[in-house]
Amino acid sequence: MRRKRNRLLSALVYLFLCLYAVFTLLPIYWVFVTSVKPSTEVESFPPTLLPHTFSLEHYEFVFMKTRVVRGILNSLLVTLAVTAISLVSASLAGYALARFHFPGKGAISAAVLGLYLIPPVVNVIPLFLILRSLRLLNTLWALILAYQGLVLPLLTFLLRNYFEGIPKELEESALVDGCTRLGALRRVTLPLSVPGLATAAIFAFIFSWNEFIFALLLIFSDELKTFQLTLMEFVKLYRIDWGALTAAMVIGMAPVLSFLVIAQRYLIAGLLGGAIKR
Amino acid sequence: MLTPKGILSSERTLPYLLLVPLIVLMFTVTLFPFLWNFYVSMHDLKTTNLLTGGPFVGLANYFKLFRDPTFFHSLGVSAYFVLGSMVGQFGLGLLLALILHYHPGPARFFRVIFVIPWILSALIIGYSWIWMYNYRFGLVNSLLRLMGLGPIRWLNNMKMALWALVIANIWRGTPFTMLFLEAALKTIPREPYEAARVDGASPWQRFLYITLPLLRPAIAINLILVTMWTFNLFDTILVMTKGGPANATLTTAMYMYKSAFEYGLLGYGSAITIVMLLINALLAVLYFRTVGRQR
Repeated sequence: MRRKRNRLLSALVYLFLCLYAVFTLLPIYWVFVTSVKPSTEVESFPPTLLPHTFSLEHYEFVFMKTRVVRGILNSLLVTLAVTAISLVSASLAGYALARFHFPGKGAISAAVLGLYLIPPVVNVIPLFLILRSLRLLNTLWALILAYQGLVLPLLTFLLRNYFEGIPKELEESALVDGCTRLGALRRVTLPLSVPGLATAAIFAFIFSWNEFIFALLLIFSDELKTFQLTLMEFVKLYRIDWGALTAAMVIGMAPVLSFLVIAQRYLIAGLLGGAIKR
Repeated sequence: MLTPKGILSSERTLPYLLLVPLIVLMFTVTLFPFLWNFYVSMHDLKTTNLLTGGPFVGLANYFKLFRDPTFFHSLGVSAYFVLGSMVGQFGLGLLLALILHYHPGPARFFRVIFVIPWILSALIIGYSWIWMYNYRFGLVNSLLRLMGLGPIRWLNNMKMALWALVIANIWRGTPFTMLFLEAALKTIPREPYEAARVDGASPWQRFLYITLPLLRPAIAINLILVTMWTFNLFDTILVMTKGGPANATLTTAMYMYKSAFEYGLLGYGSAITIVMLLINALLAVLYFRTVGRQR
């Protein structure tokens, strides 16, 4: 009797998991399926759940005839710069917070967390004005700077937690052997932190790749548009070119989803890093 | 000796030096803009008078705000949006967290799928759901048609638009609550459960009298974070409805964005920001108090 009930319960659990997976994947599936339908089928009624004809015409159009490729290059440029700058600053700061005891440490941690809790929206107007007076509006530098505020707090806490997990003794023995502090950081701690640094880099990448509000407000020239902004070009006032738009969206999701598949364990732990720890 | 090398190796100054890049960057792109908000909110700054700076008007923007019916309307919309999103995200998130925690086998596979919406861009999420909600070619209306219902003009309908956004937001935000509560479940010690089993407590009783009380601090933090994020969120709304139809989905964050960047009233937008910030600060105080109590 009891075993029967347990079996029923676990069947229900699996059913629920599958249903929720379908709910999660359905919008993505719908985008993907639309992107490989020929134009005539994209807007045919009733819509087809599976494409009758498989076609890559929208991908060809997106790559050959739109600004998307330029957008990808701009986004990669921004993303690489954001990742490099934030990774260096956050690992130095994370190391200081993990390894040293110094007056003001608690205050600095609290300040970084406090700034993390300030919603980015709040800073949009002043940041617009500041970048304007620095004559950085409508340059990729505006984005590179603005995105630091989005990624730095998260990366700092992530790396601090990672450094705290590396035994101090390893470094101390390097110090005894005549290394300087920075030498020990470079030769001992950093090589051991590669997974943590990789996670942080992936986060910086995903954040800057996905961001579009700042980009929308800080970039005006067509040739400086980031990838996300080029997506908006498929949306005209009365018509949306769904075939091309969905193809471009699939291109946009691809790097993020690949990172999730490759580094799922680290990413999932990292997703929580900023929120759980002080 | 204060040679450059001496400073670099000194245990006293080194940590501060290591923190310099972080502090400089955070000051320029977060703290300084944040403080400048207060200044902007007291000026009648518009996109038309950006060059001259806009005259000082004291608290006039705030007085205007408290007599602005659209602002109060937006607070109401935000309340529905936050409450709806939270109920959905928390209910589903807790259920999924419990299932994944007690079924580690399938968890590995399903967790990766469930996390996907959380890491996609708001723009892509917005467009995906516009396409899902499309009147003729969307999947939602196709499913309704199978059940002999609908079709519904989801995003153009005064009554449905906000709930359509809530559903999309539940889709997007549930993974965070799920991961957060699952991580919290992992920190609960085993002993109380074993003692309870010896005493003959049923699974439901164990959940009610052990899991839930021990999970309470994590639940509180989760609810506060989700409330803050949802209240401040406007990216998907901007993509999907821009606050329409007829302001039916105009949340406070969306109204701030529209005031500043569509109507060009930067000073007024800043004043809205400050009020939003006060609401956030209230939530942050709650957050720190719950985190503090946990330790």
